[in-house]
Amino acid sequence: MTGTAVSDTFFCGPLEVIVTGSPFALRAKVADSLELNNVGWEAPHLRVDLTLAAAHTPAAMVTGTLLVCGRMHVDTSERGLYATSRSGSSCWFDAINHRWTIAVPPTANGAVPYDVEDLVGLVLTTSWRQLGWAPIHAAAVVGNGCCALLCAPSGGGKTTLTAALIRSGWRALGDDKLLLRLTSDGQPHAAALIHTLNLHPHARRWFPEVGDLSTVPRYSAETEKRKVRIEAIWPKGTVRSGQPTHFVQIVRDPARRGSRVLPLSAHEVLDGLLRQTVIPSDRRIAAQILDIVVPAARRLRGVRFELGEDVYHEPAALSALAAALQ
Amino acid sequence: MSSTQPTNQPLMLRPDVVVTVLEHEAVLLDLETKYFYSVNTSGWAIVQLFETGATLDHVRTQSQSWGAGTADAGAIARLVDVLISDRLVTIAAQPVSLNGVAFEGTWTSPTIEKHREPLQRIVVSAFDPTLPLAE
Repeated sequence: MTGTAVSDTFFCGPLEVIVTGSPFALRAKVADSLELNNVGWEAPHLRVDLTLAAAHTPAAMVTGTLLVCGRMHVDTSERGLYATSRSGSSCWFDAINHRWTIAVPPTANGAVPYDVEDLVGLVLTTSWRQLGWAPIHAAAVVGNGCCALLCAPSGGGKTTLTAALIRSGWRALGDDKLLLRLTSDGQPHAAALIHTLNLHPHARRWFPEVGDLSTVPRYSAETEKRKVRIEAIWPKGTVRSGQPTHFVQIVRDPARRGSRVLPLSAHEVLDGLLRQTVIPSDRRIAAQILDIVVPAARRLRGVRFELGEDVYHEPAALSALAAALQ
Repeated sequence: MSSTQPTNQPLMLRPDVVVTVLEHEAVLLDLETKYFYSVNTSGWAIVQLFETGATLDHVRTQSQSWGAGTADAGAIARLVDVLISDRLVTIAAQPVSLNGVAFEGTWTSPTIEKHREPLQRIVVSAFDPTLPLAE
């Protein structure tokens, strides 16, 4: 973050986000969300102006004509976007003046509502798409001449597999959020946003070098996981970008011992990759995302990696996956 | 409505069906249901007819001009059936002009594959397409 008394500047991948307004607590919460994107990108950056404000009353939940999220609904119109969250916070994008505003109503305990981070996420994902990137909910690692997208639902094992592969010599773009686009010659190109891992303290069972994470403060009341900087544990464990070559569908199976790797058809890879990105109900935006994800999926070789709970105790557990990623 | 019914009203692709073309094949996404479909080269040629409006007779005539034989009639009917039964096409509200489509590639029986599960209609966040957990 850089800034003056009246504005703070954050670099979030290809964006330069200029934050103004008050109150202070809201500004600090928004800063926390923006600062997660800790991978520095080369200029030029797209300037994004975001104003923060206090609302007098909670906003009513809108329909969600563009997007329905668990804690946020987004409507669209010719004038821009309008989003509301469960806490009554709101966010709007003035498409004419290219300005974002987030307004938060007072809460009983004075705390900033947790769902403000959803509104910040909307600002970022919308702006990344404006630059031609598709946000992808996946981990990615680079090594052995390939770049593998590691895909699973939230809590599905992306972070643990990423950590296991890093200590096997792979380098990570991230464990959860990436940007994807096609190069001028049609090749998929993935870029990193965040070089931290969200690790559960029990990861120490498999990766003793992470230390006692229970002493590190939780980053959210909703999870036991702790944020750790990859390079602080595994120096040279990160990379900023890669050309994806493989799609790995992670499937945790508590009944299984060890692991196995099965090939995926092109149809399954497409199906899997489309499920890793949010496609809003707007024809133009949806078409833009499909125009990136569909050709990218066509160029990926896919494998399904099934693993049991014991897999990270076994030194050879990843050898079959590594062999498939040649 | 089914293509097996004796209707020859012009049909059009619904506006909220989004198409991405890749090497003469295509992926269709229905933004309303969130189902998506893969069509092969011949299937995409037929789907394109519905972008400006087409009758079933027009589809059959055009397909024959591209190389379809009598053996393809069932596959063509099945594809159109999926388009109609899944409401990817609807009866055109306005009069349409029946246009031709330049067919590129080699004609094979048209296929349409509906992916098993729709994409999530409700997601965790603007970045995370996972189904939200109940809180």
